Amino acid sequence: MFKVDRSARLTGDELRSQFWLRCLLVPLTLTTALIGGLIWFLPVDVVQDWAYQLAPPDDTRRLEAISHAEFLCWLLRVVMPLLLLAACRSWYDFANTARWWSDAVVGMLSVTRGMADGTRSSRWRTVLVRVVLAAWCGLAVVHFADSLRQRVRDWPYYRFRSGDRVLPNISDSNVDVIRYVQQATPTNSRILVVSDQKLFFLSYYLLPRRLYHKMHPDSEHVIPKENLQRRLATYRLEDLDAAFVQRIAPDYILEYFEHPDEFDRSELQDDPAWIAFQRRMHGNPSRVPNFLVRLRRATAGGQP
Amino acid sequence: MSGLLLLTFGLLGQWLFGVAVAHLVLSLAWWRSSLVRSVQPTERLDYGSPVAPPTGESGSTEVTPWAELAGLGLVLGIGLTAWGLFVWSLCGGMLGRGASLTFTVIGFVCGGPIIWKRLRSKWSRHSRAVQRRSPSQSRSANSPLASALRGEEPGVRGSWIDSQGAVIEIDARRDAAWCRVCQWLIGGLAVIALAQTLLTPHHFWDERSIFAIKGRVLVADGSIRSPDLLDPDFVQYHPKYPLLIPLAEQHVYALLGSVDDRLSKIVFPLLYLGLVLTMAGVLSRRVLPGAAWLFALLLATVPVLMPYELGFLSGQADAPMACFHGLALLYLWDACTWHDSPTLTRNEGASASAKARAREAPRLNTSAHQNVSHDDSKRQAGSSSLTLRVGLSSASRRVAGASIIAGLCGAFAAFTKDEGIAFLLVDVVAMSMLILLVRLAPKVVRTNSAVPDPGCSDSVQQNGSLIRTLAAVVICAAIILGPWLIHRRDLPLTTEMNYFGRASFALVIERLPVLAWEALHLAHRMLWEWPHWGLHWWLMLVGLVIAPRRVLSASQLVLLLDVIGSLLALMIAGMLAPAQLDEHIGGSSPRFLMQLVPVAVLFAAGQLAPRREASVELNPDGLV
Repeated sequence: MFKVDRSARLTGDELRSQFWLRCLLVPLTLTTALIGGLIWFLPVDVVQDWAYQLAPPDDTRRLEAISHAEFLCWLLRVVMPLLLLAACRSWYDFANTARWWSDAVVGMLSVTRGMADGTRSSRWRTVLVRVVLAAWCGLAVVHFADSLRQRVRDWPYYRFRSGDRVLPNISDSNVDVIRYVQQATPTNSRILVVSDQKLFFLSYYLLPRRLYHKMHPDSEHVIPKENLQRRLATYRLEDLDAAFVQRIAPDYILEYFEHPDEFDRSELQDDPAWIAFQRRMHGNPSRVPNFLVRLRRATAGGQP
Repeated sequence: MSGLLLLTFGLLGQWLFGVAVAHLVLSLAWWRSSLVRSVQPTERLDYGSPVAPPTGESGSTEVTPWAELAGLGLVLGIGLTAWGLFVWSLCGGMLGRGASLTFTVIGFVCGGPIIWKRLRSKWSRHSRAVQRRSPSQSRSANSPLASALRGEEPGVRGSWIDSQGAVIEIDARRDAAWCRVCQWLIGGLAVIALAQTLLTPHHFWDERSIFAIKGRVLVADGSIRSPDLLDPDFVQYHPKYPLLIPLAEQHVYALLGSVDDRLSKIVFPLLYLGLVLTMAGVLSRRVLPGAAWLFALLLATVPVLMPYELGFLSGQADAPMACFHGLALLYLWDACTWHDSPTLTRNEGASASAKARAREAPRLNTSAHQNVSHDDSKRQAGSSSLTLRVGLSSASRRVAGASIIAGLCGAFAAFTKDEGIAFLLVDVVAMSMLILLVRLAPKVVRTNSAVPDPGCSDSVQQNGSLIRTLAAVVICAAIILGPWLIHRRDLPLTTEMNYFGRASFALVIERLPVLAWEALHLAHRMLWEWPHWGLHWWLMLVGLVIAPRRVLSASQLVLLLDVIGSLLALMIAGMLAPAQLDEHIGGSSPRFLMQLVPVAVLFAAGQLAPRREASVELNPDGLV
């Protein structure tokens, strides 16, 4: 089955490289065959059940655990056979593989020696270069492991969905407003917004609806902070002059304020469609959101 | 499904388009050389030792290594397609599937034959090599592992110059095996980058609010002159920001037939692969191939580029900026180091007028073959003079080719993000300072003129070559950026920092105290926070410590000046910006420094990597 050239007389270096390659390949072959076989044999549901039972007794955590199990299962199903294939290929052409690896290692040592002048009088340079390169490799491995962990964490939310479906990495209030405006307005509407929020994500996800907003000069270069820690200066609807509104010619006018100083609590339920949407979306018939959203159809002159 | 097929077809066409342009620019010397060859078949330049032709990474006789052609094809394909779509739209054409498919077809028509020709020559070389082998060897030659070693006889040793200037010998077969390990690792990293990118939709601030939003408006309106993009009150961030990324994403959406902000991110890992392959390709023409691929691998594993969330895995423009700016500097470096290559100095780098060559020829031949008769010298001088003319023409064109690519990439950087304009200015200032240094201290700065003229002194020749390089960069950048700068004047200023508009002497003086904070902050980010961003700045310092004399070469100086200039540009931007300093610079410095990563790695490679051995025979003639 395997190609073994017994006629050739092996040098000490070749014997040593074959020994180390064997040390690498035996555990690799066994592990990949075992895990690969097992992971393909077990149905994904079984692994998910197992993850569900191990997860803390919290609905969100359990749902996440199920998705994590699914992701890891499929990752192993792809990676393990590839590694097994590589291992089998190495066994098949064992002598050449051993020689190749031996050459590669010696080649790498020559390169690093050449980078630093590896004469005995200046060995410190070679050591310095190799230490930096070793640290570089270690750092890369740590970061790649971390990125893989991040993808596992992301999977329950992102899967293979586009951003329009997931609405990732934005506040819950933004998500609510986007969903509400999407279902309350036609796709090609022009919407004039007055708000104390940065509206870039609304504008992005509401396309092809077009959002227009007169930016207050004092908040133009201000970076917002979480939980309304920083109040952004903003124009109210009454601050906008008629010529501006007429130029925009909006189909709808949206008032959206989150900072409690920007609105009166009595105004919160001014838009009954919004309140109904909130209660339907959150499954809570008495819910009243703590931020103001008021969507109105504009008249021909652009006024509400 | 048909959308995905069309997208694959379109991306392949885009790559072939880039390959065609890269081949055309980098091989400007080829057609001219072949013309001269057809007149004079005996072109061997006999300087006393058998001279190897320019080699690619696998020892082939191709001028442009495969890695360079493929990598540059990816980068130029994306850049030129976006620019072409921009110009098309500026002229009144509609963006959409029709325009994107037209570019795809142009790509196949222009690039297809080039790739086909290269593949055919590779296959024919391979089949000839197999035929030369004995039957038993032929069997083992079928294995991929054996093919990794193909073309390299065991024990063949090449001479190289290490970082201390000493000549060392390295086994070519072992170096090739190490190269192959690096190539496999880079291939794996590219697959990982692609998979990780496609596992997330756009989900960061800038990628959505600046770039992706413009891309979607372009899809909806089909024109760069969309009334919304020109409206100061349409909700978007930085309306004046350039359109390369939005147009590249629009190209993907047009081919796909729908908007899916996960699939449009495919552009970014392609740029990552393009950057790494081009770095490997260009370096392998200049330094030991094993070192070239090692540095390409190092570049591919800098955490801040990949897998940092805001690097090539995201739709932000910082990583593409690193790609374009890095490649601009790579080709400037290449243009400056052209004569460091012995293959070039032996074959092509020499230059002289016919009169001077005739005068020098006997001396050249005397150094090469001391027992050759005077008549033989004359005959060889005649042969050499023609070959020198071939070499002269070839060398100057290849420097021009490298300069054109540098200009294109610099312009694409400016067409990607506004920092690119600052980078382009810094590049020009760095080159100008280098020219000044060569003029003022010709004995200190080691440069090699691409086209030395015997009528001029060395420093004048060197300066002439550098000035021509600078002129080529500026002209190319102006041609590419011209249409964009004209269009940019019509775009609104809402949320723009407007650095140039705000710049005043009084403001700079007023904010001088913040310089200390900025310097400390940058030093902290670059050196202390290496576990987060990577060890590239430390590697640059190691290169400086180990081989301080190499810094004095023109190619290394231009990189060093560029890094210093870029850091100064960031500090000045911090002084001029209307935003709160610690938030503005503190938040953006990792992404800005990310854009300098390829330059830092390239500088380290230039310092540390063993270079091709210089031609001993040519040195006494002052041609190197």
